[in-house]
Amino acid sequence: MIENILSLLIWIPIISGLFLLFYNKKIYIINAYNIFINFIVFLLSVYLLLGFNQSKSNFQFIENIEWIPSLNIYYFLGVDAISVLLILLNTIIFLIVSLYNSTITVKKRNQYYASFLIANGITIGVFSALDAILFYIFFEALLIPMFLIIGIWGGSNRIYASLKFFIYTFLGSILLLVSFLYINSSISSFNVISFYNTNFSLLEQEWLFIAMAIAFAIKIPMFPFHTWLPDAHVEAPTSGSVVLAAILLKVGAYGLIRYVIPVVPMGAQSLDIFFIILSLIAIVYVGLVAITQNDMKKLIAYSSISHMGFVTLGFFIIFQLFDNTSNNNDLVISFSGSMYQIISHGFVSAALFICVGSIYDRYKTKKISDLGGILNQMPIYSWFFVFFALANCGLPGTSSFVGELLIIMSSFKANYIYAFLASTTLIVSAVYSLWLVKRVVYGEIKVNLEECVDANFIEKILLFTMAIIVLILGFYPDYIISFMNVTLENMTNNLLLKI
Amino acid sequence: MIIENTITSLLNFIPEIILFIMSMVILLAGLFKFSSKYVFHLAVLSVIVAFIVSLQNQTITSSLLFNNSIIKTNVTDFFKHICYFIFLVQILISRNYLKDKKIITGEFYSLLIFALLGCFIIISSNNLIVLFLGIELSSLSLYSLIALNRSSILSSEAAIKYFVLSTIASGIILFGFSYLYGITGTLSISDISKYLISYDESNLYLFSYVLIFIGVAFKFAVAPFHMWLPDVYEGSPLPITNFIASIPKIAFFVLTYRFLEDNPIINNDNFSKLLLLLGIFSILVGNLFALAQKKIMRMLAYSGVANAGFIFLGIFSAINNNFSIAAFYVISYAVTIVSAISIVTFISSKKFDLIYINDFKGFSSRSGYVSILLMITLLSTAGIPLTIGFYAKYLVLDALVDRGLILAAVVVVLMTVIGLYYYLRVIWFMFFESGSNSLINVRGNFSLFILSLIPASIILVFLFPDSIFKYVFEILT
Repeated sequence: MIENILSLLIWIPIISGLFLLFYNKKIYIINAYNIFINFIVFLLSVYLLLGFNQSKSNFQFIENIEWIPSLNIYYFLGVDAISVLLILLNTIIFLIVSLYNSTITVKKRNQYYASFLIANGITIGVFSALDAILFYIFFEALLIPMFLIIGIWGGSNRIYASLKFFIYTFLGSILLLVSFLYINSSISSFNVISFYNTNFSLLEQEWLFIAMAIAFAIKIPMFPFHTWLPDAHVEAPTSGSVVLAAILLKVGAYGLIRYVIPVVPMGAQSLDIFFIILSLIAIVYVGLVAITQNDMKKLIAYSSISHMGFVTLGFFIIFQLFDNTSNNNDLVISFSGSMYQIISHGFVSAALFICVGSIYDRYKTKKISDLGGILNQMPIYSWFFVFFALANCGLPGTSSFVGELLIIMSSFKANYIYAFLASTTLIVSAVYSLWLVKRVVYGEIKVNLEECVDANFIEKILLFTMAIIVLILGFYPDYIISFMNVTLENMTNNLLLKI
Repeated sequence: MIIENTITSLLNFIPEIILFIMSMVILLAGLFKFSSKYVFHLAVLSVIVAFIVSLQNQTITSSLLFNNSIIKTNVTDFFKHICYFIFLVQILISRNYLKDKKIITGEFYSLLIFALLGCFIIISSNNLIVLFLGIELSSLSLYSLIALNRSSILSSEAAIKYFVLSTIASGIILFGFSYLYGITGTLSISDISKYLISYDESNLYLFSYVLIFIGVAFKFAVAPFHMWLPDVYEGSPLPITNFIASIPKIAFFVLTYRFLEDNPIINNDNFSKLLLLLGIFSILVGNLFALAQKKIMRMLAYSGVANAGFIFLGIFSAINNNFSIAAFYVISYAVTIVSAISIVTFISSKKFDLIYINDFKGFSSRSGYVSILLMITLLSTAGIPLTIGFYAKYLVLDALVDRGLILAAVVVVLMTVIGLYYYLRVIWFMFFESGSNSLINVRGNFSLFILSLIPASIILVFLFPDSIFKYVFEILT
């Protein structure tokens, strides 16, 4: 039993990332070091998963040290089933990214890797911090490496995109800080467990809910706050896009489930209709917007927003669900669906971005209209691309299907109109995914490359692994759902006591 | 008895006496050819010696010296030590710049030390007359220092502006003093601030405080009294800007602390509203105007206006005598801005004056290390976590929320978001744009070491802030 495993998970990548800043000589050493550290972190997170007792609902692996006693801030870490799964997702994605990075050419390689390593550690910090200010610090600090990744290694319009990304998210998170301070001023604690036991009036809860939910809605991003994401995705380097889609968006969803809904349930209940509508707009409208895109990355970015709409829908229908069925189990199913969607989207979108990135590396274009018939030049690659595009539109047997099915099922019980609108995604997402495939993979060869290399060994391994993960998650969802079951049951029970 | 008192007073005042004598020596040394080379070394030496003596001389209890006109407490000691540290960094960094500009003369260091001395007298005075002498000593030295670069037209303009406006401010402060003396019949600041405990509050007392605080707002450059600041920042030689941006702010903060300590007037609604409104207005003006600036120094000046607003909000939240929030903000801001201006001073070379923000384009490829230092500094001014500036802003926000001023807190944070843009602009010019200017100076190992001190401590204090918080909270509450 390793004590302080969460601290190790957080600080090993951050510190080794800082060390990497001072070495920039042999590329293979940098590559090996980077992969090695990410692998160690991955092993630690597997250890965390195995050591986690899923039959208990309380936080585990707790580390609680006084950090700033004079301000009542603690270095308080701990995980429940949700955080464990997200940490595992995080470490797997960063391991994949580190492997993918070793195949590309990039300037200032050591700094590039260091940014990712630091982002890795900080994200684990976000998922395991149980002190609100500690969470806020990690949440905010995560902006800096991502800002640099997009700004230094991004595309031609990178400055605009990185700035928009930074300022948008900072705006949200500083409102979050004010909310935390407000909660602290009435209960004088930043401990998240004591956050769950607050007694605010309905009006206070509504305002707190608005401030905090907007902060995370920007991060997710939900419909009217989503405009930074397509820009950031288009300009970010491939690995940056992968991390952005697979990890950063999940931070927002995690924030909702950890810091918003359980803390201000009455506020969430009274305003849930707005967020349900926004989620549905994200699913339907943003899905339609995705169809019209001519840039592959933008298309996947919009499809991400649309898929994250499912996650928020799953979160916010629970109150209406409870009004209709009064069955705690339905709430758990809805939450599980959202969590499953989070994990599944993490892998599918990451894989799609890797596919697009590799096409870009070879053809130097992301425009769909410039591409065509790459099946003839890169058959293996195309196979994976088609597979993940199908996974993206929720083909049964892939992981996306499970999450979407659970959420649509739950929304039927809440209100059949929601279910009707949400189900249109099955058509819309099929349209943009398959049309993308049709135009890019099949059809006439538009760019005739002299020498087009199919997927190299590492890319094959990566895509194959991700395909396997997507299939396993799709065919055998029970492990993850039952893993989260106790935690979610406990959460919904506490929620229902307070509304 | 009188002689004994005088001797103890003098003994307690040795660091200031050292500074005074040495500034005379430096002035003399600058006159002769054989010794004028050593003015820099003399200045550094005298400040270090005074610093060490002052560190040895620390007190825990407060003592009144020179017939109650000077006060020496752990608060004054603490702020003086910070001033010493900042001052040392400033003069160590500025040497090459002064050499390039050919103003490395005896009178420069002599006047600079006089200005420091004036600030020390402001910090430790307990008598209105002595206080005014301190204000004038530092201001007079600064007038001439700003004008020192005679070849620059901006420098003369800045000097005139600073002279006129600062004199008016001093006049207003003096006007307030005269009322105070008339009402209370005493010159002692500690008696004046205790006056309200035994007597009823009169409008005249409030009025004189308002006058004094308008003067203080001038010196802090809180909007709408900030007009001189951008021109002075831009016009004066960078080492002087560095001084004006930091040490007088600390001194005037201690002055406000001395005036408001144990004084019920801080709970007066009208008075605290004045502080709140000035603070918020200053944050609005500073951040919005800084957005439009093209010159780095003007941008830092407007960011200084915004930060002065935060300091006023900190003073506003000093209800129940808790000045630690404002104190922490002042210290964090002073240290950070010194780091920023020192970096600009360091990279300006003989051939190239770094004036425009555009000049930072591609700077990271010229020197990654210095650009990381500047990035840390700017992020700290913006109040992003991982830097000490985060706690400073955090404490002010916390105090506002605690007093139930949620709307004010929201306005302030929105302005912080806007403010973020112009700090990020420098960062993006450094890291994301290409094309670096080879005339920019990045040489000098010793200067680099000095420059790294503050950014390193910015991050270290962020990670382990508790002992500093405890100390500041303890001495200032």
